[in-house]
Formats: sequence, structure tokens, C-alpha cells
Amino acid sequence: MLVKRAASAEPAAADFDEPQAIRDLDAADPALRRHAAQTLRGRPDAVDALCRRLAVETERDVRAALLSNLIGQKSTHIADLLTSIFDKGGAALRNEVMEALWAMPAESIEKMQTMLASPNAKARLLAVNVLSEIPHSHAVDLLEQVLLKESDVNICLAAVDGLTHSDDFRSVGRLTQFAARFPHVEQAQFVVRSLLRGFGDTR
Amino acid sequence: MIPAERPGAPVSHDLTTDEYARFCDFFYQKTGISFNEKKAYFVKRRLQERMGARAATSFRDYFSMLRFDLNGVELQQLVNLLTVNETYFLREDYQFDALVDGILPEIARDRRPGSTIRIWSMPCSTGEEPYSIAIHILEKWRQSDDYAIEISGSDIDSAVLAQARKGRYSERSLHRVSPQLRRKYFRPLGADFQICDELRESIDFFSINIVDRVAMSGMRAVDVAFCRNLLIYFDDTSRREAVELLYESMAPGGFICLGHSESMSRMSSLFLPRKIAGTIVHQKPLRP
Repeated sequence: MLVKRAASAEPAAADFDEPQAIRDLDAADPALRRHAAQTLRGRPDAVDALCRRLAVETERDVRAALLSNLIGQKSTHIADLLTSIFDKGGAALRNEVMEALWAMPAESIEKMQTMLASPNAKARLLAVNVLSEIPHSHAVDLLEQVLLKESDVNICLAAVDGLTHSDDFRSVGRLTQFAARFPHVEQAQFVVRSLLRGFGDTR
Repeated sequence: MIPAERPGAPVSHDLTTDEYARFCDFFYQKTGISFNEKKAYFVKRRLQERMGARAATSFRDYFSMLRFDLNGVELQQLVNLLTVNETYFLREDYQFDALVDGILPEIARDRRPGSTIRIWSMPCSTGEEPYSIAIHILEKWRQSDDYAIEISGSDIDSAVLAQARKGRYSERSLHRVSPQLRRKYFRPLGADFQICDELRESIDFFSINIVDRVAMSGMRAVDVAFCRNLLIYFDDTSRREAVELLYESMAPGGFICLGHSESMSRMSSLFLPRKIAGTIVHQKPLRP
């Protein structure tokens, strides 16, 4: 039986208490935490608290609300905060941080450049993975530098992967230089040989 | 000052790149809909049409009027022009089969007879989709009389909603509707067809912008949402926001049906993909 939906009252914006909403980010009830993350949209004063919560939050839908808020507010400060928490949780948090940084390329790129010099290999790998998805020629330059300077071959291979998916990558020479730096790593030799064969004379 | 609307030819003023970008930013902020360079010709033509209708002699004058138009009438006119409304009855009806063969029986399994099942079609354009859903349910779901089935249709375009409420359609809209169903649910009206009153009076049509958090807070406990070919108009940030708000609107265990070329997994991990009656739908988990 079809029934017509009863007209609901016009929803009204509720009064907003920012300090309370920030406290609610740590409430025991996930629904309250999610609601707090949503109501704190567009509030730059709340981003530190939002990132702190993201680092420890276990509920998927609360994390989604936290990330949407942070992505919506994108800033270099948020990019800094996200990179400071990326290894505080598991793979899910790492992937979400990466996703958020992809969504704010202009804000992320400088931070990624700094992270490439980090002594922490996980941080350098994150930077390479983020730069690989940023459609900007400077990101390509930075990835090419990784091929020339990075000591961890796996991070270099991640950079190769990013570069080969970039329309701006034109330097076959960088690939051969990378292969020459790791003459005894068969995977590096194989990947570069395959790519050069695939490129032919087009690059 | 810009005068009230009057019939007018499109103005010949060619928007600069900067003007186009300013307009796109403004439209995005208001609606969540983003236009790229590929859409520039389409958007500029329609802007020129509106500038002509409002006798604006420059983009600057028109844009000022648009920004400070407190009742939003001019923005609504633009929304109506810049959104695509092409549809017809029983379009992509494999999803309606999934609705009656799998989704509704699953929802009904845990509901007492007599309780409400809420179905929401967005964007509903001129109403073909929600009316098709209603016809499909009445024709093919045996339990349809056991539940109070609420079907709503919404769109951001006020002009198409007025047409949906009127329920008058051309032959072209009905090209996939069998003669038997035409006889049962429509009556001829000149060269057109009028949907029967029983259907017309049982579907609620309303305007909503799905990235408007306050407006969306009025939509709750939706069991099935048809959200086909809407999210493709949004950029990543708005799409994420829209999916978040849809998640809030859905009942636990509720289903979302997207267009055949859309994939929820590329937008959000909040919903679980399910294959029901041969089609992929996206379910809000019963527990987060």
C-alpha cells in the first residue's frame, strides 16, 4: 500500500557550542562523537582536536566523519597534523591519512618534500605514495629526486610506480640512473628493463 | 541595478576565464556541483541566457545580483538550467527488479506487517523514477499491501519538481512502458499521458540539496535510496560530504542504488557492497 510521506517540520540549525562539541569528540557514545565531528565543520580552532581523535578513533563511521571534516577544511596545518599521526594506528589510518592528503594537494606538497628527508622510512614511503597521486609537475620532480637519492630500494620502487602513472614523467634517464644505483637488486633491474622496453622510443 | 526578469535573447558578452572561474566557485559553494573547463561552453551559454533574461549588461552586474539575491530565485533559475533532467519510465529497471526480488523482501523480513518502508528517489527529475518504482512495487511485490510504503522524490531543480507533481508525460517518456501498464496507470491527455491520481497523490516531491546539512537532517530512517547519476556531478570533497549525509539519512541496514557507472567503494567505505538479484547495491551496516 502506497502512503504519502507526512511533511516534516522544516529542520532548523541547532545552537552550537564549540567547546562542548570538542569535548564530545571523546564521548563514550560513537554516535555523539560522529555528531561532534560533523558539527565542527568549518571550525579551524577544532582541527587539532579532530586530528587527535582521528589517531585513536576505532569506529569506521566516526573516522569517516572526522576525515570529511578535515578534508573540507584543508590547510597546511591540517596536512602537518595528519602527517604527525599517520603511524599512530594501523593500515586503515595510514590509508585514510593518505586519502586526505591527496584531497589537499596544494597544502600537502611542501610537507611531503620535508618528509622525503625524514630518517623514518615509513614517513618517506608515505610521502612518495602521496606525491604519486598529486597531478603536479613539482611532485614529479620530487619523485625523480627520490630515484637519485633515496637509500631504500622499496621506496624507490614506489616512486617508480608513481612516476610511470604520471603524464608528466618524461625522463627515461632517471630510471637508468636508479637501476645503476642498485645493480644487485634484481627486482629493480627487472622493473626498469620492463619499463624501458614498454616505453620504446616514446619517452 | 538589474531589472526584473523579461524575455531576452542571450547576451553576447563572452565570459573571461576569470569570470567563469568565479562563477564556478560560487555555484560550487552553493550547490556542491562542480564544472570543469570541458563544461565551459555549456555553462557560459546558460549564463548568457540568464544575463539576457535579467537584462544584465555585464557579468559583474549579473554576478552581484546573483550573490545578493536574498530569496535565491535567480540561483534557482540557474540550477534549473545547469542540471540535466533527461530520464524516462523504467530506466535501468534491473535495479527495480532487485528492489522487489531482493531488497524489499529482506527489509520486510524484520518488519512487522503494517510498518513503514521508506524509499527515496534523488534526483527524481520530472518524476519518472519514483513513479516507476511505485508501479514496479505494485505490480511485482506480493507483500506490497502488507506495508505502508512511502515513496519520496527530490531534486534541486524546482521546475522539474513542478512537472513531477503534475504527472503529465510525453510518448517519449513512456516508450518502455507496456500497453497494459499504460492502460492501468495512465490516461491519454491529448498527445500526452497523465499518471493516475492514486500514484500522483501518494508520492511526495520536495526540493533538497543533498550537501545541505540542515536540510538533510530532515531525512531520516530511509530504507532504500535511489541515487543514480547524481554524485558524478560533485568533486571529491562534495561527494564525500554527500555520502556522509546520505549515510546519516539511511536506516541501519538501508540500501543505496547508484547509477551503473558509479562505484561507492571509490567514494567511501561506509557502505557495504551487496550483490542482490544480479546487481550491486550498497548497504549501511546494521551496526557501525
